[in-house]
Amino acid sequence: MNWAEMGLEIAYLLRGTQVTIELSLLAFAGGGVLGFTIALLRVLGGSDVTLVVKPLVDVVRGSPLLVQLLAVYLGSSVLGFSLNPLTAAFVGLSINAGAYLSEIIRGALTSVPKGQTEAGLAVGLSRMYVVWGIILPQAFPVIVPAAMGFFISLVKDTSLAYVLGLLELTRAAKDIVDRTLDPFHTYVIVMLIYFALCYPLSVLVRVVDRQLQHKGLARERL
Amino acid sequence: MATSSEPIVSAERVTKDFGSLRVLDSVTLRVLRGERVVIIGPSGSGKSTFLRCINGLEPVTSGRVVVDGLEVGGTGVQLSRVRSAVGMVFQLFNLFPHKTALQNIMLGPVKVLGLSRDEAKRRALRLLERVGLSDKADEYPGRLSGGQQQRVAIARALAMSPKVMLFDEPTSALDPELVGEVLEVMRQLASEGMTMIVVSHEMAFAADIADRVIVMDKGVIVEEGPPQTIFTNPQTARTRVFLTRLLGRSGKHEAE
Repeated sequence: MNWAEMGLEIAYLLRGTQVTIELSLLAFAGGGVLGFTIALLRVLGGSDVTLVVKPLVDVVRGSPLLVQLLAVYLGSSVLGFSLNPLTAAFVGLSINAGAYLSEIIRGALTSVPKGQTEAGLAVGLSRMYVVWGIILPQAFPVIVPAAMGFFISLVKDTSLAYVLGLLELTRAAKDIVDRTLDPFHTYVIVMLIYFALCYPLSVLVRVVDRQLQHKGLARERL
Repeated sequence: MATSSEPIVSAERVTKDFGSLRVLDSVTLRVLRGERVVIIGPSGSGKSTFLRCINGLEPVTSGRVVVDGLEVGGTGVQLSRVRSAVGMVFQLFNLFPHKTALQNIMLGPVKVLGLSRDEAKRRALRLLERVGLSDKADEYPGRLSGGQQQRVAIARALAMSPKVMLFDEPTSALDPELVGEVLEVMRQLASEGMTMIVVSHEMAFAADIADRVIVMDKGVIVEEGPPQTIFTNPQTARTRVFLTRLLGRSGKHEAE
């Protein structure tokens, strides 16, 4: 392979990388909105809502993402509104992320001592405001690092979208291997690209986590 | 005493079950405007639960509670109205840790009473002065002692201009040397004519400020009367047993 060809391959991989980044961000946003909604519904709505929502969350968390992506993509065409690969990947990943993020958020909300809710209610605040203005800010330092950690695995999980034919990073690699018959170099480069995306994020998680803990400690009595 | 014959809190045959456990069994209590009632009793007697039924933190299983003419329960809006008329002080203070002392006090007046921030701030500063913590306005709860936190919590409750104040063992979680400052604020409040229902084990305090002492055990009121009678001449065996244990304990405490 000469340099010109190599340049083309790299450009192809970077295009895939761009799709991977876009898909990750979109799915994280979608999953975040979904996860927040589910968590708030469960915390505010009590046992009735939980009875309906929890089984759905459990099914999503208890089955492979790859199968979910196929179900959304192929299922949509059976149901008569065929989604393009990007939309199907976005929907599938958002649902999956929503289920996990809802548990992260709900867990953080319920970890705030019950006395906080009672104190809020006792001054006459609405249950809605108590969750929004009192519980959520205290849950935030728990949610942020955990959600960021989840985002890192989401970036890696977007590689599964290659089965839908979506031209993201892994799919780009496969196309190149089909042409060059050089899986070793290609996939090592792809691994390094994923690593370059994820590693700075994991460093950031550590920094943020430490910052938040420090801020929390500053409020505690020293 | 500055009491009137009109009850501000009226609990009628209040029963509360937690699953199969009956925590309150048909408790009836009327508290008059300006009256100071201290509820004592062994742990698990239902006294804290009873207090929590008065502002609807625990829904009653049967019976009814009326505060200042408003039935406790029903829709969120009505509950919110009742709760803003009832101040509550908790054993563990329950200040909002992400807000300063000042913000803790301002929150209710701004969000529930609809006061402007300036007005709420003036009110909060006045209350902080009243509980002796003017210099702590901008401190977070984590940097205050337990006694200071509890005084901020009292100010937070007072900021709603409540018609009655509930105290749920307000000094039980405090180091002994911090109890006095909280009781002092409560004494002050009592002398200003605030209607108070206090669950406490501070007998000297109860003897001092209470118009009436209620003794609860196993979910029922076993005895009630003026503190002198209850403490010096209890009528029931259960009260005697409880007081003996309590005084024995605090006697030992002082000897240490």
